[in-house]
Amino acid sequence: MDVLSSLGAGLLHVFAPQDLSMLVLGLVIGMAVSIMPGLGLVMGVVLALPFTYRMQIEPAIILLTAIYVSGTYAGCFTAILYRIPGEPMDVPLLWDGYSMTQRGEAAKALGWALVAALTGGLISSAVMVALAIPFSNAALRFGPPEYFAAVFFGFTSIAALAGKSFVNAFISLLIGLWIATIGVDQTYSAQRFTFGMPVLMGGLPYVVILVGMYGLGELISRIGRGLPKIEKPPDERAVGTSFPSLLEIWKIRATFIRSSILGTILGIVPGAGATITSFISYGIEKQYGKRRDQLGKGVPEGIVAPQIGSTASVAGHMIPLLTLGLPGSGATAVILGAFLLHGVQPGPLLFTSPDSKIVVYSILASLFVGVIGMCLMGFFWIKVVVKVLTIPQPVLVAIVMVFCVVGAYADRNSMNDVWIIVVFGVLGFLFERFRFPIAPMVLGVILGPLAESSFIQTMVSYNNDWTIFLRHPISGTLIGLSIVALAYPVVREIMGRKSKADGYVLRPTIGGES
Amino acid sequence: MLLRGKLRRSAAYAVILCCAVYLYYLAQHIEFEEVPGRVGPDAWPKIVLILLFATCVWQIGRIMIFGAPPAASADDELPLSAGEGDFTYLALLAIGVTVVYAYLLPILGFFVATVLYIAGIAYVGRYRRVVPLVLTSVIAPVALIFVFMKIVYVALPFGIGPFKDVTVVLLKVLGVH
Repeated sequence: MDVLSSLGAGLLHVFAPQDLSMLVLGLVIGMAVSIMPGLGLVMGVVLALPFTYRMQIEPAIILLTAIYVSGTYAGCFTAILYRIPGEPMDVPLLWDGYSMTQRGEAAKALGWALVAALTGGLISSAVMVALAIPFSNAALRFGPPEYFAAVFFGFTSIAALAGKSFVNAFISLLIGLWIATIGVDQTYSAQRFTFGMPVLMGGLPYVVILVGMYGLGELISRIGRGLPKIEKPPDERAVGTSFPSLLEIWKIRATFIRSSILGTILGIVPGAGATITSFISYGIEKQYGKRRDQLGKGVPEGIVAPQIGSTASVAGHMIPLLTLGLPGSGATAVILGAFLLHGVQPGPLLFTSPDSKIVVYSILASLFVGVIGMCLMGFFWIKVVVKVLTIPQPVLVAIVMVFCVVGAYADRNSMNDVWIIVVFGVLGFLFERFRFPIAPMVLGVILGPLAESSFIQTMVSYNNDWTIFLRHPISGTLIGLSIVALAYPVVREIMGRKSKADGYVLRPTIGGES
Repeated sequence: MLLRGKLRRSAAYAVILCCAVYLYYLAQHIEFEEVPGRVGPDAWPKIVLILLFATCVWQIGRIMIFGAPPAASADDELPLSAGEGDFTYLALLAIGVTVVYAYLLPILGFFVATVLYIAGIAYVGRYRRVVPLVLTSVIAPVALIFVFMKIVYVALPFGIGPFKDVTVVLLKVLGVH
């Protein structure tokens, strides 16, 4: 009852002018960036971050969360209509969606995607609200060993899931952890890796690192790949959105249920971003669906499963972020950055004070409103899709690059930050070039200080006895899960071989980023 | 697999390995007052760097001994923003233009530097339509100045000398005080 009344109060907050305007703006930005190939929802969240510096925390987080949630949906337009996946997570959509378009059923395909996004978003949001309090209560019992084990689990799972190569993902993570040590140590006031440069004394600003790696680096990489051109402007008059009937939905109810559960659960696992969830939902449908033999030839299940999976994962990711302060994906890492910029550390204590509790429930309520809002907007979005696709890519890239630089500068009005973003932009380009996933590095940078402090506190409290991580029940379980996560790449390789032999490939190569 | 190919694929790991060794050397020279029986500020970075070192050695060993498969072969890539081919030289040019932009920003001021930067990046991106390019290069910085200085209250660089005068005039026109 307390949860429902808190959610109701949060809902009232969401409909206040400032929160509502940020929600609508976030939905528009998220839907716009996700239809631009190569930009994506993480970059949308990153680019919006500098605008939140002077906002209050509630509208700031609502803005970023709205970009995140709508970014998982709008990519279906370009994937289904033009076979252009705006995001990696949209790739499974085009296998069946584009086949339906070729048969003249584009409007129906878009309708299925809309219903799937609505279902996945609402179900997972409801589950998230129900789980928030139990999770935060459990988190309140966490001491330093448990926190370290939780962060360690996050690290291992994202390294296991974030890229094709576990070794590269692990190296990326370790580089991020090292970067987090730059600056003056808080316990001993010792200078670490400052190279005598005063600008490094306070450490590197993670917002600049985020914008550099995800924004500037990605754009430079895109220029290096040759910017794609749209051959002919599509005609928006040819396509609308046609909803499936209730009977049609009932026929594939198993797909709806299966994918909603899978999306929400996988969303909680750190590292299993919307991309991986989308691919796995499609893969499960391919294995267990009633019409699995027809998947890939233009059946609704092939649209519903990945769309539900990717949208449902958003709410799943928000649970560990809000209750433990642990982001599980690139987008939630940026949202955590926004929390920290406002001087708020997400975690179980957020649920204890009435002031912060209302902020949390406003964010949760904004997810429900956001999911419904994005689907309403999606009904008319086709006209915008056509306009956005006609913007020359080089011009768009140039403007977004300026946004990245200004975003870095705006943090502290410092030219040093401009140079730092250039360095990390080049590093992001090199990461892409040598196939090192970016998400583990970013999470390493953001969670590195927490990992170090909880590790040091544990060592001090338990006389340098590292077995304490295994002897405490919660931390022992989390370390056990970490070992499972470390074993996952081996299993994935075996399954990948089997999948290839079966004729389709389950390959979230760029997964974990979003 | 030829030795040359193995060496080429090991190069990135070798560079990271060398960096890890150098950084470990620096970590050994972190100055602090040691407390007996208590881990110091050098412990955590050393653990991270040892793991980094070990991972790189492992990967280089895999490549040199077993010719381990590449992280992701070309056919494993998703068809996302696939582009038109390999234009690495354009990416390097874009990096060069960005470095010049960062250098000129405090001198030319945000407006003039950004006009040149947008035009430069779009040109590097092989956009050749002059009129839209000029219009976008001018309108976009003006819009950004308006948003950041009038709405978000971020003081963008004014520049020096005559470029500062240009910025001041533009701000007056936009009503930014």
